[in-house]
Amino acid sequence: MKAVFTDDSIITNILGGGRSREQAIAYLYNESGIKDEVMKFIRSRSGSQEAAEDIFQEGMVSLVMNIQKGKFKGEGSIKGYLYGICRNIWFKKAKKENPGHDEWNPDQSDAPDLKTPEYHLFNQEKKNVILEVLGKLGEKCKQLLLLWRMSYSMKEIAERTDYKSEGVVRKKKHQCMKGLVAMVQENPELVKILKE
Amino acid sequence: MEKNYFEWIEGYLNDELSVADRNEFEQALSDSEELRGQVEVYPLAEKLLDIALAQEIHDIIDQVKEEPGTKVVPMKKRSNVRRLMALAASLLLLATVGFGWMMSGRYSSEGIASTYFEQYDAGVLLGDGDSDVYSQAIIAYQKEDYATAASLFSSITPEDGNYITANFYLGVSKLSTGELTAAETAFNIVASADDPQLREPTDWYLAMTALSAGDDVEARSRLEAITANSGHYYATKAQEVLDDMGTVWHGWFK
Repeated sequence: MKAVFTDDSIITNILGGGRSREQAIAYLYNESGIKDEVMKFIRSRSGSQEAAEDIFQEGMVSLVMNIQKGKFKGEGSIKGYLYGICRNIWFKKAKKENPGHDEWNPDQSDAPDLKTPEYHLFNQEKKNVILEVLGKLGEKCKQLLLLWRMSYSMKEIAERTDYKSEGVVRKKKHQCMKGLVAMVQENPELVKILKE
Repeated sequence: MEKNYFEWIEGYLNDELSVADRNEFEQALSDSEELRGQVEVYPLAEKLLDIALAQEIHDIIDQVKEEPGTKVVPMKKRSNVRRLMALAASLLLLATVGFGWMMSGRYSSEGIASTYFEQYDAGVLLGDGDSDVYSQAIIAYQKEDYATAASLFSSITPEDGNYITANFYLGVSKLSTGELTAAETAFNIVASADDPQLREPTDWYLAMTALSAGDDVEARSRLEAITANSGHYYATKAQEVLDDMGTVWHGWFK
């Protein structure tokens, strides 16, 4: 019997990280049926297969990020939320490519989060620049800062790492962030990528 | 000891400082070029972390794309089997009780609805160990035990996060057991919620409900609304049903 994935278990698995997060993502991507719905929506509006694939992947990333950051409040179904995100990404792209296009009307949108940032897949070169900086930061700082960006509380971070208390985590976070800010300041190429 | 204003940057950018602290920080900003540079770059550093998190998710997706699990077909394609069965049955009827009776079964409103009806797949596989009411209802639904499924789905309250989805499956269950008024009521609850995931299937099943009830006017209206939207998932099937409804046989036997 395969794993059960209700909306609650998808959220729990994603927040759990590691293999359980991968399983939830694999389910949503391959088995939930939502991909077909999104693809159909985009293809029916003359979007290419490739564009539809890319938009669904971007939508998936936004969904997982929003769950991780606690932005998904569970007011509707996950599939509906994901569908709404993908639809918005599509309309934004369509509007960008065809400014005169009048199909996009925010009032008609039932998507829960119009301000969901888009998380494009960077090319390998840009990815390497980012990974290099994170590598220089050191594993412990990287882990702490990523947990912080995933909206874990200082207490939760202390529990997941080997820092002794919330106070220590808070102090360490400032130190790590200061180091990261300095590294970004020293790297004009990185600043350019981040400002894109 | 000199104050560490770096620790104030996040609060300043998120507008979380008190008025007094904000004024003090802005004074520090005007005095320190280093601090100004840090404030300018701080959001970029946050963005870098978000990009790293997003890239990690992209990588996971790329990985699961390459190793997909067993694909669950969104809709159980039973209509062809039903059509073949209907055809076989029709041939038998033709041989035994005559052409007219066959055509009346196939082309009556109910007959057309029966031909095109298919169970909406729940899309998830649940095990008998899943004990909550919704999971149990889905299990019964997947086993086509529609009476049990309907009873369980109808016990889910509006406060439950699965209420709308439960009403959708309740509608399909009631349609399967021929309780058309109850099916329509359940589908109308779903339609009023306007869930993007369930909107199009609900359009379709409401049309099927009307057709099963012999309400050709309502069914035709709903089917035409579906075909008017070429991107609608059920547009092709709705057109097939409309074509069947337009035949002379339906005119005779409805």
